[in-house]
Amino acid sequence: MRTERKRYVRFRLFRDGPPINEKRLAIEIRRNLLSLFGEIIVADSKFFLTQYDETNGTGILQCNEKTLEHVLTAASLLYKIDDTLVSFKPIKTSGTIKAVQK
Amino acid sequence: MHVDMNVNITKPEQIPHFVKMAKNMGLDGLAVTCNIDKPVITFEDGFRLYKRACLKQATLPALKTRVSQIRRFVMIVAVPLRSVQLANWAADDARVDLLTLSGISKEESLKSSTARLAASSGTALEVQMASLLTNFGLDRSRAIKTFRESIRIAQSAGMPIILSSGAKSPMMLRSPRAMLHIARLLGIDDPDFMENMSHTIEKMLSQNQRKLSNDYIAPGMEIVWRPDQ
Repeated sequence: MRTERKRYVRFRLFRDGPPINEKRLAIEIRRNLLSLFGEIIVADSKFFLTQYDETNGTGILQCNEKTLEHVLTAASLLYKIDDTLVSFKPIKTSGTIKAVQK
Repeated sequence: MHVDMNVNITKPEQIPHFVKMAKNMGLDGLAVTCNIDKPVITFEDGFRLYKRACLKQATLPALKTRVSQIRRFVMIVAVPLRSVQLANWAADDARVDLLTLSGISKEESLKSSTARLAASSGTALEVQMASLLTNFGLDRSRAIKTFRESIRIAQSAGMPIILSSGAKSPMMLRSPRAMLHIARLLGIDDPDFMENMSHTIEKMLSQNQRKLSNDYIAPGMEIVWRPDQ
């Protein structure tokens, strides 16, 4: 059986307000994913924040290749987390964490 | 060339914040509703601000008057999709560049007849994604429904489609790649959508820039030489 392929995405979260911690950001992306595409996609996505620096907003997320589009759409529609206005910018996508870090 | 065609700036002092964010997002220009001196302002680094007018007149005579008053002073003229009569007139008039869909009003929708008229005159459908950012759950699904239906009609009629932010704060601006993902959510499956959209915007802006020059008289008629030159 062929294993499911992962995708890594380097991103930057711009913000206007207090910093957002890693856990809060992951919850908000998952919540948006659930609202837009439903429980099956959330379950299949295997979405996870691999790295996140809350001071400058840069990070790497990982997810299943088949749900990459859904995860990035959900993240792109983030606007307000608690009292902070945010804008998610996907920068680079790759199949390995090493390539995405370059 | 990536230009956000609808940014709602209420005060001129907000412009630097929007420009900084737009540059961070990888945009080359913004079309702003705020009152700026010229139809186009070019910064030293090549970033451009375009003056845009959104005409919300309720009656057709008022809309016609306003279009003729304002056309020579702004780069982009947009008319919100409201009544069929206003939308059909705006779609058929070459002075109107965009028919705007905000996703807020329940009455907003694009009719097939309007889309056909717009396709023949080169008027584009502008989809403002602000309502997708500020709403959640059922309210957002209502906006998505309006957008998807109208986009389907525009695509079948061959009407160009433009996705804009409708941003009221700099954090509502999105990068071209994020816009592409949002476009897919709205039923635009074309992998070259961003390129096609950039091409439509570039063509619209260059045509309008030519129309605003002193040498332009009418479509196909321009002053190419003056005796005193």
